[in-house]
Amino acid sequence: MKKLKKLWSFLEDVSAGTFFFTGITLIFYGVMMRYIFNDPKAWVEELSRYIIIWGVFLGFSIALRYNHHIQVDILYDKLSATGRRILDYFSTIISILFCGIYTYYGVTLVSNRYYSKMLSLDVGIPMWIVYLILPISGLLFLFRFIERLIKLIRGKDANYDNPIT
Amino acid sequence: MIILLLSLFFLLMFLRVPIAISLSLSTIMILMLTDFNMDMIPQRFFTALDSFPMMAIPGFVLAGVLLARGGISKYLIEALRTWVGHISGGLAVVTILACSIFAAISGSSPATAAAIGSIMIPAMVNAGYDKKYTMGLIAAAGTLGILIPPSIPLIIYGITAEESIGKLFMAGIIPGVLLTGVLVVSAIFHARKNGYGRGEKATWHERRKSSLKAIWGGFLPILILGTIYSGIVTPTESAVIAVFYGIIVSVFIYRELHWRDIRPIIIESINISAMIFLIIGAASLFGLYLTNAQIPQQIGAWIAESDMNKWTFLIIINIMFFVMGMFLEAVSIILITLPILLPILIFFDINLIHFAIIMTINMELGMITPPVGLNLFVVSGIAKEKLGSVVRGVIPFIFIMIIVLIVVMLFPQLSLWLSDRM
Repeated sequence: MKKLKKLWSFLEDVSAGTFFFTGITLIFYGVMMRYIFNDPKAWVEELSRYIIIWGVFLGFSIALRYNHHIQVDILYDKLSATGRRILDYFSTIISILFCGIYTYYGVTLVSNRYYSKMLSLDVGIPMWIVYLILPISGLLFLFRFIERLIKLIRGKDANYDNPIT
Repeated sequence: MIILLLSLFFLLMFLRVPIAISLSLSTIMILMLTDFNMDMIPQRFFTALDSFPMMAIPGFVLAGVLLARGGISKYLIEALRTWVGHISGGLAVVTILACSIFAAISGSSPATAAAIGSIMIPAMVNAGYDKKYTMGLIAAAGTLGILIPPSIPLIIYGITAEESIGKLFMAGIIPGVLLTGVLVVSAIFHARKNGYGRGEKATWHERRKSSLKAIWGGFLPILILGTIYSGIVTPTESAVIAVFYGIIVSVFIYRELHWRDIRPIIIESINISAMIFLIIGAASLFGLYLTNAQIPQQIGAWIAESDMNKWTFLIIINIMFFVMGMFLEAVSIILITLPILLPILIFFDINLIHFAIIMTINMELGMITPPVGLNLFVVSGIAKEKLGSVVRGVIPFIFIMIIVLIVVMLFPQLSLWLSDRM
């Protein structure tokens, strides 16, 4: 189980990191082609946008793992241990609800675009493929919140430090 | 409806649901009550971010993380120390100047406070500076990160208000230098009053050696601002150029970057970008509701009817920003309020670039006002001290920054002079 978790985190990191850095490199390639080789590539802008968005959206769940999503702690800090536990359950369940809605309508959006056969403006990628990141990121995010819920039920401390940067 | 939505949002937020999720879920709940095509909810998260200028955010985030790890902050501080370390309050001045220069590479305040604070907090405390004062100084000087370009809030402002991001960046320079100067003067006075020791005066040989080492990193702000100012490249492209320049300098000149550093650098950049992007998506969904319900028009009409003048409006807005800044961070405040404010700003004939700088200084205050202030969290994390003692240290700086805010508000030329020359 522990190994599986580690592998899962590794896959999250590697997939998000690859998309993210490829997108950034692609923009750099575009700049180089335009200014140094005088050969502008029109498709670079659109493609790099999609690739970076894929990378960052895959990062929603990573940012949860590192507790980077900002929360307000004023009430929480004043509560007793039981109060905190109740709040932890509450916020995790609310977040699971959000991920559910986001993923569900992400799936309907993708299937609508699949049947409408819409293409992206510059490169002509089918939009359903581009939008696939919505249900994917929603599911990954959902898994991390469920992991948090399980930790809570098992009585493990699901809290990390305050977000830095 | 809007009252219900906002109450729901604040309720969820105080119950410790992540801010982005509180905002999207309360908007979704209200949208469900109306006749709304629900497919648009996730789509909105995508389209809100699907613009090339938006890609400057991950770009500058990556550049900042890379350079903080690649040794640039270390060499920069070292060089500054040889130049001003020996004056009264020398180390405090080094800290402020280092934050100011790092701010010209990074677009984020917490990142600036973290990069400089992790080195300067121990150094200043060892040299006998009061710890509360040191922590307050780093938290406050770190906020320069969003005023001195590049700046993530200014990128978001530019996209929302459809203003040129390059011009907004230029507008931040003079107010940023002004705030730096005011902080430096206050630090010198504070040091004289408390008799803080001076550092040893460095020899010319040491100055030359450390400056030559720092010059590679110090060239980066010139590269970023120069390329944007001259209009050769867009801010997004300049961010990416900064990333690759940074990689070359850190790997081949400073030799501080190794293969094993790559994963943590990229993952940290993704963490920060994902946090910001999720908030942008959520706030954009909220904006969609505002537009559908015609809230900006209603508030605009109400203001036009009342006999409020420009200055009462500005004062009310500043107070509102200050209060919001206590609880929310910059990106959410800009995206929640700007769509509502735009028609009013045009009605009062307030220059949108000037207003961007007023807003940014307010956002800086938001980073150091409790209970939610990202720079306070960062500094308390680095110094391993309670949030409360950081807050006590930062209070005098809040007053200093309010004074600078008033000056910038009264003299639009400070922000407009340079941006008009672009």
